[in-house]
Amino acid sequence: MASQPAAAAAAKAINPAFNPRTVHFWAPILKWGIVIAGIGDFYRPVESLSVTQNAALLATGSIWTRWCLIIKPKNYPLAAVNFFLAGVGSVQMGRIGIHHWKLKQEAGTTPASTPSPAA
Amino acid sequence: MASAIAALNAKIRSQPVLNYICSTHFWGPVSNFGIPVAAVMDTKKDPEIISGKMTAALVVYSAVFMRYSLAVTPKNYLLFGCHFVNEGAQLAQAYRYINWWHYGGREKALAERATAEGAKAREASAPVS
Repeated sequence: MASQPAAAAAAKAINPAFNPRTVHFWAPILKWGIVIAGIGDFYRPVESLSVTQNAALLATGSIWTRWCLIIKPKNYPLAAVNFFLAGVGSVQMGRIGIHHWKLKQEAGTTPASTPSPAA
Repeated sequence: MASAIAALNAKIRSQPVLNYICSTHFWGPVSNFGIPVAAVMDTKKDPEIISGKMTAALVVYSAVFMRYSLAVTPKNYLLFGCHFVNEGAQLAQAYRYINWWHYGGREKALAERATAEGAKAREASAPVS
């Protein structure tokens, strides 16, 4: 087939080591476990969330996303995993932030001149 | 503004130490060290809070990433060190977990706590000498 050598060349160019017999393959797969655990935490109550832990996930996720693109061989799957991990961290921090903002509003320390649109 | 940034960047990249410190090769592992540090601190805490599943997952995870950090170019020894420490801490936690739940560690600790509380109660109710 005409597309096969082209596909093979593309695969070689992207990452020749990306096959199930190398660590470059398994590292991203393992890290998805952490992302899935993080997504599971979306269903936990906001009060039980840790700001430092989720800030750490956001920071490490972003830094590692960049790192995966400057190493050799570039690891796009691992970069994607870390991108999602940073996403999980930021969603959780958003939840915590909104929760604290709501508490402040209820306590009356923030003058709520207009009703919150998301309520 | 852009040229000032470009000039600063050029200065950083020309100096090997500064280049390293201002790169993700450095900050990635530095930020990752939070996990092993938390794990080491947890080895001093109550074994009841250890999550068996998470500990087992991290034992596998750190082993794989110890290998991965040396399989990429440039090799990242800092990341290797981070996962090496984490592997040790997680194995220690795994030992504590297994000892606590399966080798009588919990029963022994509960018995000791009971005797300690008993002694305290006897002291409290004893007549003042």
